[in-house]
Amino acid sequence: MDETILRVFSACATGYFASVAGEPATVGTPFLPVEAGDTAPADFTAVIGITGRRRGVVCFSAPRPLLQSLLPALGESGHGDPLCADLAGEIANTIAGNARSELGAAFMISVPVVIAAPAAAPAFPRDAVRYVFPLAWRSHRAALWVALEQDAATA
Amino acid sequence: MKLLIADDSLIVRRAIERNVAWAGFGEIRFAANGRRALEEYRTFRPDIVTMDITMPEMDGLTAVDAILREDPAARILVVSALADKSTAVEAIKRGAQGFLLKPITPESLREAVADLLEP
Repeated sequence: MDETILRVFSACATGYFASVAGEPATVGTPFLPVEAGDTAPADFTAVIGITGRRRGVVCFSAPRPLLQSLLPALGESGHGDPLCADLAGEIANTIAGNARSELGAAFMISVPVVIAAPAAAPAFPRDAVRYVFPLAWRSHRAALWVALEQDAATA
Repeated sequence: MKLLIADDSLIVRRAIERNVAWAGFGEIRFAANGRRALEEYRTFRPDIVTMDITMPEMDGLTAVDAILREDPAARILVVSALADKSTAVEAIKRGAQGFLLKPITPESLREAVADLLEP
């Protein structure tokens, strides 16, 4: 996975929180997951399928308290699970969509599929390079997982 | 004036609704996918449509095409997270009057809707 991928997803994740809540998220150094715990899902995991020149998935996984803390910034007074799931999906969609600023229209994204209380991380494509982007916002921790096969144009 | 908001996220639909209150739309309807947006357009005939692109069943650009085929005077603001320039250009080429990048802010939405409301 090239440096552009690492930079653009870090920037998009940071930028989402800055734009919506006025407080950017802190994105830690991306790393290759080694143990199952590195991709342990939180309460809500939103999965975006990627097709086009690269195939794979982009996932945003967040605990309920993070999503509940963010909902008021979007004007929501409720904090139930349907709203949390909707928000997780919208965050994943926005981060993956914004990444096209550098990855271009050939980075095609699906609608999000949100899994509540998943038992395990979603299945990543076997040949994909996987990266974990640890994320912190206020006192909460979340994660962005990006798993992409090699660029078909350069493979 | 009437507004149709098409987005698969309930939170986004409600955020847009709240942030256009200043414009005084008399009636606002909602659609969670492009197909439903097209159906609503036919019966509701809104003055303005906000249209997400990445939606289930029918994507927003296909819905833009379908609406403009039936009503070439339709005024559509595409509101999407797809940040590549070619998507914005494509939306305008298909006949949308504006393109607004997500995440939206009250200010950016206000400016975009105000542009569409200008005679």
